[in-house]
Amino acid sequence: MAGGSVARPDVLAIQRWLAAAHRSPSLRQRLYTVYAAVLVLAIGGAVVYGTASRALAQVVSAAAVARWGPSVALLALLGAAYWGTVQGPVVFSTADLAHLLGAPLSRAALVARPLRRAFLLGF
Amino acid sequence: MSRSAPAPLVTEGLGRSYGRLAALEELSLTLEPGECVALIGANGSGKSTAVRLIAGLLTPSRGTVRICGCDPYREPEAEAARAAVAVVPDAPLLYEDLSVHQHLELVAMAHGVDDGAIDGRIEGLLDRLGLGARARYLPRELSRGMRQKTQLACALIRPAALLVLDEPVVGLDPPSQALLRDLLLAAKRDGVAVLMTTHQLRFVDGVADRGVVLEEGRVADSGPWPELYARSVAKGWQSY
Repeated sequence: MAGGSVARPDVLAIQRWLAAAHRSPSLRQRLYTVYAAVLVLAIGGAVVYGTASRALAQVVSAAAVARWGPSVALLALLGAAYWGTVQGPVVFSTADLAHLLGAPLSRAALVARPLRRAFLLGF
Repeated sequence: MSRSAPAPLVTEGLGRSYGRLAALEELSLTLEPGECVALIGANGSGKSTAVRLIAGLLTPSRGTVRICGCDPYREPEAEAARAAVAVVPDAPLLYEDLSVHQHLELVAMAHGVDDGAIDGRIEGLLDRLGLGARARYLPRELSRGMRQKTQLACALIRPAALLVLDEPVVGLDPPSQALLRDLLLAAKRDGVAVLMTTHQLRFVDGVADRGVVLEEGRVADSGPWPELYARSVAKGWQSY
């Protein structure tokens, strides 16, 4: 086992090092993602929009929105809050489990940065 | 009057259940510095559950774990427990986009091991494990055995009082198994306590001081290794 001096690890420095070390996708991979997203949105969006708008026009009226809108919005908020609780913005990989969560690092400090980013930027 | 340091590992009545199924019951174990204990048993006997409970990865249903006197399930003393225990899981847990060398750099940083000579120590360890030429490779470019050795290197590059290995020989060729034996014996000489699970009794022979046989989550037998080895072989356990 390695000896050597042991200092208190700096969580922020480790997260920055890890972010820099993770290989970002190549230009080709990024372009492919954009291409696939545009294709799916163009085809799926056109089909869904046409069908949904016709169906909604029969059901949704100004009176219906006024009556059911707040309840539906509240349910959506509840669903988002539930999703946020179960599958929140801070996700650890199995490798994180071995190398970060298994290290003598403050778990509060490990969670703080991605949580702050999620609250501010939404991802 | 001097107070002796707490043992690297003490478990008392440790157990874990999944609903009605008791994966592990009443495991009480103490490891002293430089001692090696082998947990042996068939698939589903509770070996990996015991490792996960000791590693702080699975909350016990009952009983306690103390690593160098610290509870791995109670912050902030859990940080001290995590600093003291190095775990080699049964399947390598590696970042797909980090090289072998970067994994070791990360572990060294995360454990505060940075004395300016860390690069030299990483290279020395990788050379010893036969990974020197593949230090810049990504995990997907490595064989199963090499990924396992990378995980082992991650455990050895940092200081620890307790080394826990779950099925460490799976995927390793005979020369690598011999190297692993040498590394474990060296760790024992350095005062590191070693707990390992395995099916391969012959690998453990000469390394383990004591053994514990698990059957369906219960301790079926335990004792000094030579006697336990003889009893296990006599009972028909395959000795590879």
